[in-house]
Amino acid sequence: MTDPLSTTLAALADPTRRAMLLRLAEGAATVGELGAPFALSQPAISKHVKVLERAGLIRRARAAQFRPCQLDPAPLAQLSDFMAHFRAVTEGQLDQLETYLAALQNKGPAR
Amino acid sequence: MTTAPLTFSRVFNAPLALLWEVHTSPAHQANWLSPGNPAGYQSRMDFRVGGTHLYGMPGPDGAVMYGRQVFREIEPMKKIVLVQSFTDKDGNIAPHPMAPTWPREMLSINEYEDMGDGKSRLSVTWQPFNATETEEATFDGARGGMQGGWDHQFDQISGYLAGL
Repeated sequence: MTDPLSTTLAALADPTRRAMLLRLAEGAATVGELGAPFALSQPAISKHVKVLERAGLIRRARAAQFRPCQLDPAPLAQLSDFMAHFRAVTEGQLDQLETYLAALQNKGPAR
Repeated sequence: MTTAPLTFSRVFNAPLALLWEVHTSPAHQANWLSPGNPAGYQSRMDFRVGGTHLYGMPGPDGAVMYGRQVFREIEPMKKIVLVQSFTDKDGNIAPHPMAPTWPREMLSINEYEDMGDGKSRLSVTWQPFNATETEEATFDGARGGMQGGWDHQFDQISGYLAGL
């Protein structure tokens, strides 16, 4: 999978990884700190971190002793644009249909 | 890999016959799909099983989004099964401009239901059709984002982004 958006979506498709990103939204953390809330083995935690890293969602300082992880917002911004577009298209069309039906019948919306 | 579908549903304050007509006739579609510019809505509709609907919808920036629907089942006032694709202006299947790995073909099942009391429901179910693994993964990710219950979490992350 080379498309960045698909990579971001695949990385976000897992609840553990989403929880890790939320933790990182509060500030940098080590892999140990990221894994602490989960009843998962060290290799499993490392694997999740690697997926996030490969998706460009987190950055790790190569030189630092404990290599803390940091959230990289760039892929999320791109995803956010796509989701907003997608939602606007799908929900927006239903809104427009609702408005039009109401206007045709000279009535207010159902909800 | 079996991909779970994505469903959108809404109850309208309109009788079933009117919902059906407005949802399927190009003359009405121009008004609700392109409310700011109904005249800009292009449509070549062949509304029968095996028929094709080619359309072009002007976007807010003026750029026209072209698409194609091929009808597989039509049950008046009940159900339409169609295959939906984004296309170029000549009706050839093309990748989504913002998401090149979005499925090129999507099976869409539209169901129309009388809710009584002058109300009716439209449910639209999407599923990738003839999709590659990458396309299914893209769809799966987006479905997770829409309906997997992590909208709220995503908003929290977006909130973080806004604060940067």
